[in-house]
Amino acid sequence: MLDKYLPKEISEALEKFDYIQEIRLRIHHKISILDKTGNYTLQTMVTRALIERVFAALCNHSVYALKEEIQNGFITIPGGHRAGICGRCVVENGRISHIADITSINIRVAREVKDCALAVFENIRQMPDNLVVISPPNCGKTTFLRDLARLFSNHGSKVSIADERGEIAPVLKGAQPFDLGENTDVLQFCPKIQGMMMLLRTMNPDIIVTDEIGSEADGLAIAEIMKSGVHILTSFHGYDVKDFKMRFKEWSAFKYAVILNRRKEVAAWISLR
Amino acid sequence: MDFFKIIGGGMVVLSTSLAGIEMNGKMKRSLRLTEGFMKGLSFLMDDMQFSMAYLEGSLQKSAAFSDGASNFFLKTAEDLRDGSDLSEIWTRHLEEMPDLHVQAKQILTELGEILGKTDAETQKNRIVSCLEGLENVRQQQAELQKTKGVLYQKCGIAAGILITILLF
Repeated sequence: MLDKYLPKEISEALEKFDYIQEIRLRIHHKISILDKTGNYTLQTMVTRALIERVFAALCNHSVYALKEEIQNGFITIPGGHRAGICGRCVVENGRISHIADITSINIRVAREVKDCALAVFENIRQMPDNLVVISPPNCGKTTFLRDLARLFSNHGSKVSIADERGEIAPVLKGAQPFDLGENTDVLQFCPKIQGMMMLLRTMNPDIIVTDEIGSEADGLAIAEIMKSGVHILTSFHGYDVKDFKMRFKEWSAFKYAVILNRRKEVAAWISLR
Repeated sequence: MDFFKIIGGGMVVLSTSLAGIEMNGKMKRSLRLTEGFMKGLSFLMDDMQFSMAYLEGSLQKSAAFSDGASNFFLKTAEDLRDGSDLSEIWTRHLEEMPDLHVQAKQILTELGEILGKTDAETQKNRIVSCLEGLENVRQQQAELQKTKGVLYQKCGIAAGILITILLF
């Protein structure tokens, strides 16, 4: 699946891994792989030429078309995978203009895990309400949200996804690699709040799904959307409910909280009110 | 014997004439190629700026506007799909065009080294610079074709006749 972006000898070396989660390239270091069984190192040394070639391929030879993503430090690639990039930030007027002289790339592999949210869905589908998925990074929040959206969509709810980073519902040339259900609409790469309000006004959704809330503005937007009777499914970077309540002012807008652990399992799901 | 001399003479005249026609034809093809690249790159630049689409798609669309150079754009777009290095693909396909003017090839090769690797503004500036260089080449080619094209054809015929006379 990532053959297009990596030289042949590296792609071939990756075939022996069953469940790659991350591929890290750091200049003047060997390539490291995070698989579900642990960390591994390939024999290939990352040179400047190699990292530039991989970066160009990740950008589809179109750096000019990915300016905003690169400014945010990552590129979303077909399949919903995300490539984080590090290098020299070029700052103009206090904002990152672009990242030059790339020195590291971290490719995070996205996966669809059908029915990972089934147990939670079965418990709430008769009484849907606002739900937040809480976990530290890399614990499967986006995968869980995607599955929950699919389940509600197939259950008959009109689901709209405000996919700011193109990770929940990546679209490539009009095709969707993941199953999002029968009644799902996706607005991709639109700023989150703007996206949610547009979907609310135009798509008449029962449920709006978005990823990674955290700011006060997010909270105000959610409060506004709730007035329309639309439910929100979203995620939050945090460790537990206490963390969520402490850092997100509008926490009481949510009825349900799902906590994921580092094994990407549901550690707990809680009624907040 | 005279019959074979006439046949031989005719063949000499024909071959030198065809050589002259071919040289004229090559100049015309080279000029068309340069113009085709200019049209294609103009469209490419506009498409990159306006739609911010990936290069592969823009190259495919540019092929429709590139006249004699359309194959180049199509093949480059196709080869990009397997993740190969753009500048390698670009240069390889330029080398497959023997009728392309040497200077035009050089200018296009330099563009291929930067295409897709920088921000939109830099891409535009580099393509504009490339187009200016190609325009200079086009003007030289057009002038040469106008002054020398017919001359080569006539020289071809004349050389054939002269050789025939000398031989026989």
